[in-house]
Amino acid sequence: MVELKNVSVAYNKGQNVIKGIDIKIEDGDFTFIVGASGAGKSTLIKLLLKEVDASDGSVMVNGYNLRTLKRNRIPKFRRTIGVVFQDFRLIPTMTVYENIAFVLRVINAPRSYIKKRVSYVIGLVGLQNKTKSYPTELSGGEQQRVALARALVNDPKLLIADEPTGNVDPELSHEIVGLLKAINQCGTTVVMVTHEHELVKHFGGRLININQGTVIYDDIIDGDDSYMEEDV
Amino acid sequence: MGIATTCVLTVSLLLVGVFSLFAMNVEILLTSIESKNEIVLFLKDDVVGDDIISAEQAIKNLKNIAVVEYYPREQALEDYIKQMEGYESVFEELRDDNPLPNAFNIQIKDTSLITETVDQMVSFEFTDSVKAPTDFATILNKLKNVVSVISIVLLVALVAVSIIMISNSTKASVYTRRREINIMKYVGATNSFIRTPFFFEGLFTGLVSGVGASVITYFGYTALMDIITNDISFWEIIGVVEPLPFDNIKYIVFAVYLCIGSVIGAIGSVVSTSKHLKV
Repeated sequence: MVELKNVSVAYNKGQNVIKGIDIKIEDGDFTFIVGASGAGKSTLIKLLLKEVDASDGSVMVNGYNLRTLKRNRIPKFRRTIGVVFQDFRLIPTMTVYENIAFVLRVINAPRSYIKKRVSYVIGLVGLQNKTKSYPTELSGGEQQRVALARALVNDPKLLIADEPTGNVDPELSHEIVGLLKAINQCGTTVVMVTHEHELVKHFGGRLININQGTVIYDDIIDGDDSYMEEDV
Repeated sequence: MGIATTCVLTVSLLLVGVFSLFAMNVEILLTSIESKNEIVLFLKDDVVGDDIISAEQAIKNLKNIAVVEYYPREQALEDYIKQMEGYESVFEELRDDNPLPNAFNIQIKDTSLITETVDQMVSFEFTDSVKAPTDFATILNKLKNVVSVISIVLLVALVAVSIIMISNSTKASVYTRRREINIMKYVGATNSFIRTPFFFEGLFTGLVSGVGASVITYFGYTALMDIITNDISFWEIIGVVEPLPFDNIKYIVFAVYLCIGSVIGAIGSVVSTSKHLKV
């Protein structure tokens, strides 16, 4: 569960990037976060990953209070979250299998479990035939599916996808969001940041619209684009 | 870390090592020159027989005395005549009326205390006069002090430069792997988990550099000493002991190279990684 209460984030003195927002995302939810460039979406993601700290308010993620979380506890906290980035962030010197397996090596998982689990998630994203390929040998869509498999491999409670369709064509975008929806159906909470309103309208669900550091819309949409009217 | 870092570390170790060996040899040279300078204490004419033995004991009882050797007047005359080659007959008649005094050739432990020691010798009843290279000893001591200070300053500077060079080199190496580090942080890797491979890589690079520096130093030093000692008999000309043989210190040099190399390599690598861990 994600719960932000009256949260503000200030990078520079007096300059709030996030201004007293309240957001609650229940376990098992699928939430789109939209907003224009500079609206505060990236800062919100960094906040959820404890890459930046809130200057005010309380931040609870997966049962961890991020305002009081000590630095040495951050790795353990992050193991409860899977992250997918727009630029994939795959390690070019590792194969598809190694890119995914290394997440489990980080947490010292047994070798037999790594083999079993990695094979399972590779199958889930449909890349069984690419296990020995390197990222440079894959298309943008395939790379993003590897990134998705990597985010899923340690069975996270929360999956954060930061513009996951930003570097792929529209057809693949639908495929990727479809995969995220499927993952959500299995019980994983998914937060997807995007600026592609077409995708949001197509898939529907809960949507949070952020503008100038504040939440200007937070509701369920079902194919309509009424939320856009409130976007500045 | 690649070949560039290994080369930089090898060169850095060589700079420190070569300078240390140079400083050690200068120290040996100065100590050798120092030991060649003797004090001569001339006895009064009336000091004879058992009084000479008592005088020797009194001198030995002084704190700063290393060696005391009695030098009888007869021996002094013999040596003098030998030195006057071709004019021996002129001095032969001196054997009947030897004008030279009995003396002690004395070596002291610490030449920086030569003035005090000479003053103590002069105060003895049996002392006629004392001939001591006080000015030379003072200059030599000043020279030794200057060499020591310069050695320490240069050594510290060289080590500092080496660390900076290694740090920059490893930074570049770590920078190329920042994406890997960044991803590790996002998936929940601890700092120690991330640092460990960099630590061992740095350690290994340091050890390889240490071996490289040891081999270069061994062959370089041996070749240089062969040239100096064989071709121009440099050490005989200045009348001091030979330079420090490398065989005597090779294990120490190798150990120091390996230790400094591995420590600098490992620390440089870990420190350079730290910047990318703040995610």
